Amino acid sequence: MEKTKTLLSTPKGTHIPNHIAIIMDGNRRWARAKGLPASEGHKAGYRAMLKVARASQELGIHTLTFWGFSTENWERSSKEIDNIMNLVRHFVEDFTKDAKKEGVKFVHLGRKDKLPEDIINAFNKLEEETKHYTRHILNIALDYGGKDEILRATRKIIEDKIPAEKVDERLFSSYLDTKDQPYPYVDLFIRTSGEQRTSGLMPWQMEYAEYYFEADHLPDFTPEKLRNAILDYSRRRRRFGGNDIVEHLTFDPKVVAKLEIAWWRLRKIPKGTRFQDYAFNHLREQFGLSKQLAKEAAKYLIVAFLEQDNGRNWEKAKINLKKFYKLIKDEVKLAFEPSIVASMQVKFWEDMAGKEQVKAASDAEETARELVAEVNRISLFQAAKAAHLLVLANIERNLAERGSGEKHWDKAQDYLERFYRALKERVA
Amino acid sequence: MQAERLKTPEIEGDVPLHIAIVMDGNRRWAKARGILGIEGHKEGARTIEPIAFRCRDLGVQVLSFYTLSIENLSRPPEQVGALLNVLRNQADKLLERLDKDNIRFKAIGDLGLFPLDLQSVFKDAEQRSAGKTGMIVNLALGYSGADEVVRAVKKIIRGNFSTDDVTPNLIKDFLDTSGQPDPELVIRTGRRSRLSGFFPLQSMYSEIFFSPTLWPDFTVDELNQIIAWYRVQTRTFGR
Repeated sequence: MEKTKTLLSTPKGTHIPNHIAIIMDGNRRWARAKGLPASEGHKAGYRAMLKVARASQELGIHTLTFWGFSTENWERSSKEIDNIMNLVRHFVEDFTKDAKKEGVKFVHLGRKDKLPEDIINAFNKLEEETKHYTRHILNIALDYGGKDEILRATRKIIEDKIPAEKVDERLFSSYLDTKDQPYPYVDLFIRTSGEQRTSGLMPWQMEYAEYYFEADHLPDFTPEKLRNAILDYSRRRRRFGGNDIVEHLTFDPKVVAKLEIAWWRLRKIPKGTRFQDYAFNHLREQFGLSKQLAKEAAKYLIVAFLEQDNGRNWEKAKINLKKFYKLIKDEVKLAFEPSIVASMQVKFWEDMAGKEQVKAASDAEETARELVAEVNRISLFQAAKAAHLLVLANIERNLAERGSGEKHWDKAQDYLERFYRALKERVA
Repeated sequence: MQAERLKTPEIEGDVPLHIAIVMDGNRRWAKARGILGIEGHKEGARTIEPIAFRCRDLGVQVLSFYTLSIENLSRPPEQVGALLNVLRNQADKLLERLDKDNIRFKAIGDLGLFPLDLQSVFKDAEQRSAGKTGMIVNLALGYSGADEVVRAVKKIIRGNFSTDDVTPNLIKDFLDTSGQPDPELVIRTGRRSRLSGFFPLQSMYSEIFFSPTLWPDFTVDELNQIIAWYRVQTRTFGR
């Protein structure tokens, strides 16, 4: 495998999955769309796979499973099968060079009776040579089918004359292709090319997996996209350090929205006490902060807000927001990184500036989704509704501030209320 | 006999023969409204009926609901107790109404995990509806995918089958859904993107749809939209 310096890293506190399983789909569609023969698609897909494998090691993923060829794929043309098998031979060469350096144990998942003999021999050799490596595991599913794996396990249990009462989940696991692995259970399942199916990949081991469907075809699946999938996974795994966020989401969406709008409306008045008082009330209601903390938080928030609003001093806004989010984080015991969240918030304000239509605010909506997901440790998908409402509220605010009338403030408040309701609903 | 009946579907358009639903979001629905989690479960139970009737009208032959997982049953005792009470209060009536509409009920999972009174409620309902010829409603109760596989393997061992007898069809026959078509569409509500071990062997080629709606808010309209989505998916069965 060629050494590519991807410089991939994830933010502090990211919950890294132990086991990622990927269905590599879309090579043929990718080639067809480009007017290329299928073989070119498989080649490009193979290159993408190598990069993703390398990146996943860099990111600290222990076990990686690739499914390249299923028990049902024998129905494809012999030419295409030959193409794929040749890539497998390439892989064996490439991998052998790398395995020792990176400490990767190779495991073949699937049947061993139909694959070309030289490949089976090469796999056996690789497995033998790498069996003592522990840093990573690379599972290659080739001539693999989930039903077939279960079937083979059941037959072997019968062959071994195991009495029925001895069969339990642990015993059954030890008869599967992933036996003896430290992380047989898949944490994150990725399928490229937009299909929303598992096609029977590791039915047993996928019980707890989070599903991530990537619209792009495999040849376009980059390490950066793998990283995005991991970040999304991480947000879904909520960790509150023993403190459940639900306890801190006791606010009444209607009241919070009303209080927040009150200070939005005052923003033309510079640093007045009333301004801060309103923000104070709002933060007390939303996060249940003590008076002392709410006062401090309101100060940071207002300074940040005014910096971005009047001075367009994004850096200074960011510094104050970081302090604001640090305070909230410590109090509410959320697992986000204040500096990251602060950058997102500032970016959201930047993206939102002057936007008076949803269409024009698509960047802002994307940022809002990341912000809401990051703060509340939920997936982008889960954050989508709240983010959309937040953007709508801000559009109404922009309209109101341009002088388009009182009704826009009412609408802003309504959207904001729905935003808080969606947030509460989502996180509860 | 059951399998034979399933071979002659009365369908117009491409409707999934079997839809499986993971009903998630009851407690979040309740918490967002500041009411007890159990109220969410009650509200969620009310969502089942309109969805079931819509599916029957569409010509769906089997409809499965992931009602209670084995994991659910290992929650703190007071929570489990409250859940079981919702079942006590609602299951019987729901099953009676389904029964009147020629819908056949089947319990999937390990009923042995339930108190005896509930076991007999489910067993009675199963027996009562055994002769029904309409849609089948599976309620997964005390279910987990791994447990289903282990139970199947045990039955196969006890049945003294030889390794040669062990075919995909044999395993299928010993799963809880024996005689039923596999789900072609799996829906999970409640904005979580996982299946939590629902039908591991049956859902291999299912189209999977994750809905952002919390289960008590799930409507017939949304079901229609998801079926419309299902219809435009290309199903290749791995080939």
